[in-house]
Formats: sequence, structure tokens, C-alpha cells
Amino acid sequence: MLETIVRNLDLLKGGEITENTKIDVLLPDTVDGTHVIDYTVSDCSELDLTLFDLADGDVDLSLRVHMKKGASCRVNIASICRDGKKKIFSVDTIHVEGNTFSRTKMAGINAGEGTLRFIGTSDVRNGAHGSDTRQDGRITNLSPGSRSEVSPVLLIKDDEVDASHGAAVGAYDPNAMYYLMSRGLTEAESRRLITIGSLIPVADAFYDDGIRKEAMDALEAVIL
Amino acid sequence: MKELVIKDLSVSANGVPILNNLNLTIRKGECIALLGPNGHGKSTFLNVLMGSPQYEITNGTIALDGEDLLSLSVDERARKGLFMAFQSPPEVPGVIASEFYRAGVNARRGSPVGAYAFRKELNEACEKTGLNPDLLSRNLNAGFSGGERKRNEVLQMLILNPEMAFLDEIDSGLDVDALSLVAESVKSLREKGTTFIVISHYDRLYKLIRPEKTVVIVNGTVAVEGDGELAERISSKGYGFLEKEYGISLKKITRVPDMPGCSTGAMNVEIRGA
Repeated sequence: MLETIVRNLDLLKGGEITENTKIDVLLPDTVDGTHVIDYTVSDCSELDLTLFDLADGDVDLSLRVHMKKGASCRVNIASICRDGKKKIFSVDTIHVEGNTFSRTKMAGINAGEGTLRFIGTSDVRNGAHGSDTRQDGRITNLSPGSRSEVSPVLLIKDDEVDASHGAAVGAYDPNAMYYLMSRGLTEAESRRLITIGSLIPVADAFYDDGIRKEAMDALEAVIL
Repeated sequence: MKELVIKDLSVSANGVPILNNLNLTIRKGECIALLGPNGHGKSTFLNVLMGSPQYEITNGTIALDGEDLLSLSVDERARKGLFMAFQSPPEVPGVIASEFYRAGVNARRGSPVGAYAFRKELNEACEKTGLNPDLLSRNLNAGFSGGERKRNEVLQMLILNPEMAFLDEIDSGLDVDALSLVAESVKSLREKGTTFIVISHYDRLYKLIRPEKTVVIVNGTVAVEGDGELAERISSKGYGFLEKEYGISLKKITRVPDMPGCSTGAMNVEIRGA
């Protein structure tokens, strides 16, 4: 098992994954620029990539993962988009050969009048029979001026494929707010819990305990 | 809390009237069986008492020991000791159940409870409700079965020790053993003075907790008040019994747009001899 911690998108080079690999990405406070990263996951290998983005800048990341026979990948992305910023995360899982598996989960908070886009494509190509793919995306808008988009796309070109997606964009769930406040938590406390809670499942996906704690501490600091 | 006085309460949801000139006085320590046909306003009434923002108060007052309850937010009502056991508690991803409960206990008591003392209380409440403590390390209500969600509501009620508790169909989805545990929890809080309003469609819970008062909401208003045995009579004879005995006409209900599970019988209210 290869385990890598990355703190700069410039160091995320992509390439061929020939053995099971876990990559934890915690973006620094400031980050800008466009990044296109391609991975190819070899036969029966696994790639787990978790990215936590609390940066105060613009981000445009396009991640493409090509999977060969029996390969699998899990991509987890969490992002907070601050006022006036523009963040675009595009994840393509390309099932080139049969019996491949992918899970993409993206969770975001659009905190002001910024733009946050999650775009995902599950491209199951001819010859990738028996593959399994799912994408989930959710963005919580904290401002009426937040511009958010979750766009999962399924391109299925073979048979015997399991493919699904879930997408949600909206303000706080009023039922959850009512429930939390009915136990005595103030509106601000309830919003804070829900905000942090929506990103914590991504932080939980970090393999490294130190990075997980760092991400959660940074998240709390941002939300406070 | 000494008394909760509801006067001429009228409530709408999405512009559709649900409660209509409802009057009721609830005194400390009472246990009230709240009955009524489906869609006639029982759950709405409890949610309005708790402060749900989904409803618009169009008329009337609610006073808790003389204080205007309607001016208080949901959390302020909770901190005053009101508690609602939800019919369908929502999942809240990423919020760990036990941490949330501790935040609720801290809010209710107004000072932080120590980790050890809280864990002890929580374990005792798990034992009383038959809930697996491992569940409380999970996200709030996530992956809980229907029965576990109901037990979880009772567990929160026990640790929050409310002045007044509203139980909205707490018995639905519970097996006989779980029902007994719920009833024991209600009894233990009643001994401490907690006031209860309990909605159930079946008399098995009422037989266990023995409410001393029955209130029947029909067509969005209190149509009948009686002793605890009235709940059992209605359970055995059905609501047709109200028409024969009290001359109350049940109106056809109207669904409230965009509010699943919410309906109203408050249109064209006609109550004869109630």
C-alpha cells in the first residue's frame, strides 16, 4: 500500500497506479490556478483520493481516473467556497475495462456570493461490463447570492452495469434545523453543527489521523 | 411550569387553515391522551406548541405561566423545558448523536455537564430504553431502524428531563417489549412531575401510562374533553362514537399543498353539542 500526503495541488502529478494507493490532499490556506490531473489505475489496483479544500482562493481542478480491468477508485472532495471566490471541481471516472468500481463523493459549503461547481462524469465505456459506479454531490448555500451547481453525468455504453447518482443543492434542511433547535441549541449552533457535519464524512475518509485532525480543526476555525 | 393556557388558537399552513379557535388549559403533572381522526390537527397542535416555523399563527394566544410562548423561538421553548418526541425524526449527517445530546443537555441545564457524568447518564438511559449504546457513536438517526429512532427520542427525553413532553405517535413501529420500556420511561418522568401530551392511535400505550385526561381534536379544534377512559372508549368504538354520543360531525379533510403528511379538517367547521 502506497500512502501519500499532499499539501499543494502542484505536487499532485497523476500517473499510473500499479499498487493500492491512498492519497490525502489538504489544500493550504491560499491556492489558485487550474489543475488537470490524470490517473490510470492498473488491473485490480485501487486508488483512494481524499481532498479537503478550505482555501481562500479560486480553484479549478479537473481529475480524471482511467480504470483498467478490476480496478477501483474512491474520490472524496470537501470544499468551502468563500464570498466572491470561484471553485470548480470536475471528477471523471472512466471505466475502460470490465468489473471496475468507482465512488465519487463531493460535499460543499457555499458561504457567500461565490461560485461552487461539482461536475462529475461516470464514463462506462464499451467493454466495461460488470462495472459499478456512483456519484454523490451536495452543496449547502449559506447566502441567497450563492451560485452553486452539482452536475453528475452517467455515460453508460455497456451492459450489466450498476450506475447511480445523487445531487442536492440548497439551504439548510429546515427539518434538521427544527429538530436540533427543539433540543435547546440556538439557530447559530444548529447551523454550525449542520455545516461541519456535512463535511465531516469527507474528513473521515482520510487515512492519516494527523491530517484528519488538522482538517477538522481547520474546518472548525473557518466555521467559527 | 404550572400551566399552559391556549386561547382561541387558529393556525394555517401554506394558507390553509388547520387549527380553528382551539382552547385548552394544561396543568402541571397532567398526562393527556390527545386523540382525533387523521388529518384533523393533532400533530400540528403539538408542533405549534414546540414552535415549528412551518405554521402561521393567525389568531389566539399561548401562555406558559403567563409568559407569551408564541414570542419564544424553538430553542428558547426547549430551554424552558418543552420537549417534542418526533413522529419522524430526521437524519442529520455528520452530527454524532451522543455529542449532539450532550450539547442539548448543556443547553437545557445552562451549564456544561462533565464527560464522565454525561456518559453515566447516557448509559443509564440506554439501559432504560433498550437502545444499543454503540448507535450513539453514529450520525444522528442515520441508519437507525424505525424502532431505534423512537427509542432514541425517548432516550433524549430521559436525559433532558423536560417540564412538558409532547409524544407524537411514539408507539408506532415499536414491539410490545419496547412499548413497555417507553411506558416505564413516561411513568418515571411523571413521578418527577413532567407533564405529558401523548398522541397515539392505539389504546395499548394509554393502558400502560394511564392518562387522567383525554382531549379530542376534531376539525381543528378541541371537540371533547374527558377522563382517561374516554381514550379507551374511542379506541374500542372508533370516531363514529363521537357523532352518536356527542353529535360531532367529522368533516372531510383537505390536504395542505407542499406539506406531506399535513392535512386539515378545519374547513367548514361544524360542531354540534360538543
